Amino acid sequence: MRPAQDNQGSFLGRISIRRNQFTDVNTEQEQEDLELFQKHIADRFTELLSPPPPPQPPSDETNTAASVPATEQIMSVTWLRKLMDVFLCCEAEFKAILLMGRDPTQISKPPFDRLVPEMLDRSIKALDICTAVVNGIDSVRHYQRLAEIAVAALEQRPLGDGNVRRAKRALSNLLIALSIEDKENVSGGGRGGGSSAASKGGATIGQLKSSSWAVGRNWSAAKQIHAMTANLAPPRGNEAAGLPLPMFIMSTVTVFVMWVLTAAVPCQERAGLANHLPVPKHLNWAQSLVGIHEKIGDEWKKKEKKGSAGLMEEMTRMEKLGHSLVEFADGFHYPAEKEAAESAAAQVAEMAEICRRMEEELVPLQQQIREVFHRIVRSRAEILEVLEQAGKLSAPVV
Amino acid sequence: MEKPGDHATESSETIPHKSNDLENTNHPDESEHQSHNNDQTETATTPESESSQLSLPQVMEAVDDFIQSLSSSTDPLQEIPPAVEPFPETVDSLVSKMESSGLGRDESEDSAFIDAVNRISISVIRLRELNLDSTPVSSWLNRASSVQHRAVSLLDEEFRHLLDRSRENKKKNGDGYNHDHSSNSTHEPDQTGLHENEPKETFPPESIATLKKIAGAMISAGYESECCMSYETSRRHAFKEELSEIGFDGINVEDVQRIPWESLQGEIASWISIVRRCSSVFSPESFLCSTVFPEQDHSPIRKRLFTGLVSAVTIRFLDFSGAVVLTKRSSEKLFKFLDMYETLRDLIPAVEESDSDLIQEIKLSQTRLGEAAVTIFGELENSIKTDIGRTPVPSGAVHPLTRYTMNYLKYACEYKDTLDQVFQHYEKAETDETEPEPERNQREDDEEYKTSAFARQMIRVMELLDANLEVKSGLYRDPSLRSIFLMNNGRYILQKIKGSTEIRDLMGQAWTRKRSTELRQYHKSYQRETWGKVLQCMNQEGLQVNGKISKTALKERFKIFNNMFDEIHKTQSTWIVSDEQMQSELRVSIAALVIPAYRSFFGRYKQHIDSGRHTDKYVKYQPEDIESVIDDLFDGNPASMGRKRT
Repeated sequence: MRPAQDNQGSFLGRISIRRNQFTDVNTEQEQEDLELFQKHIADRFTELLSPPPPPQPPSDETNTAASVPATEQIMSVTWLRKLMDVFLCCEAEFKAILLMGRDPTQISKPPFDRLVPEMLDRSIKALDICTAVVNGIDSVRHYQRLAEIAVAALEQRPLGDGNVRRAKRALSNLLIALSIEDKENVSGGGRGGGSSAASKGGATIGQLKSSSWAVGRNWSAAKQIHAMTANLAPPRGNEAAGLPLPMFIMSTVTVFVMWVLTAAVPCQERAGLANHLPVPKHLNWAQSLVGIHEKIGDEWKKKEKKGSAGLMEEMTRMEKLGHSLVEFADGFHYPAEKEAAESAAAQVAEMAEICRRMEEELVPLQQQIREVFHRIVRSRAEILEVLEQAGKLSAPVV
Repeated sequence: MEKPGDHATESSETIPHKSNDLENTNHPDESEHQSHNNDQTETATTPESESSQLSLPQVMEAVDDFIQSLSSSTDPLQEIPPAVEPFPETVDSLVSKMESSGLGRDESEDSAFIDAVNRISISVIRLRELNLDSTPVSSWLNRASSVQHRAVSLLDEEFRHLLDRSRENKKKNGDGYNHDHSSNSTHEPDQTGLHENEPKETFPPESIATLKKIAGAMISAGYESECCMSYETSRRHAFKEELSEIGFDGINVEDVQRIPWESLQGEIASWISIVRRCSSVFSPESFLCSTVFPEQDHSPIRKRLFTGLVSAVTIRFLDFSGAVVLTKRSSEKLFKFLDMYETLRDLIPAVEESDSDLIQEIKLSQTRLGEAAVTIFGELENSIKTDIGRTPVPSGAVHPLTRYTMNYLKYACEYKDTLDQVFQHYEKAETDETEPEPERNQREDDEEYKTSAFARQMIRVMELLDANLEVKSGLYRDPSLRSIFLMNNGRYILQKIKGSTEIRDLMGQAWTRKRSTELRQYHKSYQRETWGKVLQCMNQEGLQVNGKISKTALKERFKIFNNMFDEIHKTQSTWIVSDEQMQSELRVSIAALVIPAYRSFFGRYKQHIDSGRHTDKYVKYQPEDIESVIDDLFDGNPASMGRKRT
């Protein structure tokens, strides 16, 4: 099973034992929990920023030793799945801190009467982003299928004109899909491309674009991300030592994760996504998170100028390979030149590997995002329940 | 559809020179023509010498032989038989012709074309399998696969075109723009086009036949991916357009939270009708899919395409219900939530042909709605528990809480089967968490436990209500009024239960009988409290002093009676018994108690005071008056003392 579950279990166990031992709100204990929480956040994101080297042979974990660095790269689909796990871990831990063994009235008093609703509002926005991203991954799966057609055609031996043309048709559709994704979204889904290539495969692309589902009219992922950060500020003064801090941390993590997902795959309306996320650079827990943010932000700025479907590592490589294979197809004459064919074969193999990884990981990634969705829903319900309890407890007895 | 010109330019550079020769010597139209006329008459010339003048069926036959030889011959093939040699070019010219005319015009032409494409596909696939190392063969293979690609691309375009056309026709139909036979079946005048029980048949049989042929040819050519992609894209698009026409655009969680409940109710109602309509077209959709992909070995394709389409649409529906369930819970939402729950429940059989993951997702959404319903129902209990006002309802009338609760329950009972499912599911989830297996089994054997989960819930609510009313009755100082209050409320509850078959069945006869008994007890205790003293004062005891009637005592008794009776009249005519039957029952029973007693008291003793003056002062009521006073009681009319004035 997923490591997330294990961590969560042991951590919850630990917290609940402690809380049971100290029935009163024990500030010292709480302080320790908070520090542990921050440390875990820092550790998890550090691991995402620079994965630890594979364990040495004497290690008892033999399976993980075989991990290939390329798949661990930031924004690869494997990495995104890890990010989802990290989110689920952080979320579970946060909820334990927020709710476990706590007097319900505590989180209904100021400043929580403001902080909690703000957090819940952010979680609602995150839900819509999850939905948009799941839709976006559907588009990626469509690219994958086009790439698979090209791979299958170019793997034929002897490679003939028919195969190359078939591959080129698929690749052109792929490249158009990748390049119009963003513009289509910005313009609100106008049909049919202007280029000759677009009109050739235009029916497919046009249909694909207008048949992918919108999260709502005028809904914009970038605006939602921006709105999530609107009232997100690090706690000051004596608030900084208490519960407001993990709330701020968790909200930051949520915004960050949603931001990454939005940048990774096609997503409804992303103009202005590169805008600064208010992540405080000087805080220890945030160091690696900021590092990842900067890396991705730079990439996004580069891509934003020419328009891109997403920064998912496999997609960007797929795009590059696609261009190069179209070039190969354009210059192809039967019988194939040995040298050109060999270099194309290597690219085809790489494309095949990307497709294989997508085939293995895209659907699980979608499932994880849906899991994140359900988790957010559940946590929200639990928090509301506690608030309601608090409301009853503090209601004047008639 | 793409313009033929586009393709011609693309293919001209890659079609080998030979095609030009071929077209010069044997015009494609001519050869096609010949193929129809000369089928029987023309005797086959030797393929070796006159290959270029062969008719299409003859070439096809030669290709068949060739394909046959490929799988049987043991000698490695060195060159292509002359009769087969120009086959790619023959097919290429057929493609050119088809590009200008399009498929679906002439069934036999379509078939001939598809047969030719199938043959070239088989040749290509077989030759590839043989992996031959002969230059002439490889060169032929290259030409053949090139033509194959061109032909299949055309088929793909046609496939998409045919699929899309039904949709476009439907739109055109709205403008009275019918020029195609396929519009015959798209006769629905309204835009929704999706009616329950009316299959969404927008594809004429000819189109379906062509689609089927094309799909078969594409798949056997190894173009399954392209074929599926075109099919999937077109169908998804059709569904999306259909949904947006009937008003289902994506609505996100955030918007749903913002919309006021009144508007959201409207959205929910249209969601329900859309989901119901949509689930009714899933079955024709599945039919279309299995008609276009009918082969045994197409089964995984069918499953994948149908599942993909149904999931894409259904997930959209679930997103909405998921968003609604997140809205702030309140009692008025219960029934809408249950409506949605039922809609999703009915959706499951419609998607059963798809995969289990989707059904799990639907069930999860149902569970959410169910949990929300349980919570809301629980809030009813809470609102009963917390209704602890200090002021009694004037006149002992039915308490608003009773009305509210009973009306709510009456509505809820219209959903009793659904609520029963919901509570069962919920209880199960609860016990799964807390109880070990054996204990649970034991409880399920328990006879009482077998009553419906919702009935148990109802009984709990009733008990809470009873307990609350009991407390509320304590707010009345007058024990008679307390009884009237309990009678009123008890009667109201009983009437509501009797008035609804659902609740009556749910609560059972024993329970109803018990309630009636309780009511009779309240009635008796009212009589005792109010009328006991009145009857007592008409008692003969104490009126005789030394064997003679004491006038003073008698006068006193009449006075007491008058006072008590006036007082009762004054207060109790302001009391309310709103149930007419109960009101008259009460009056009748009071009359039966008081009138005979007074009549006899009056008849016996009136004469003893008659002789004195101021008789009226002591004998205020004639026996006949008593009844009319009793008829004033429980009218809720504070002015009833002055009733005689009007």
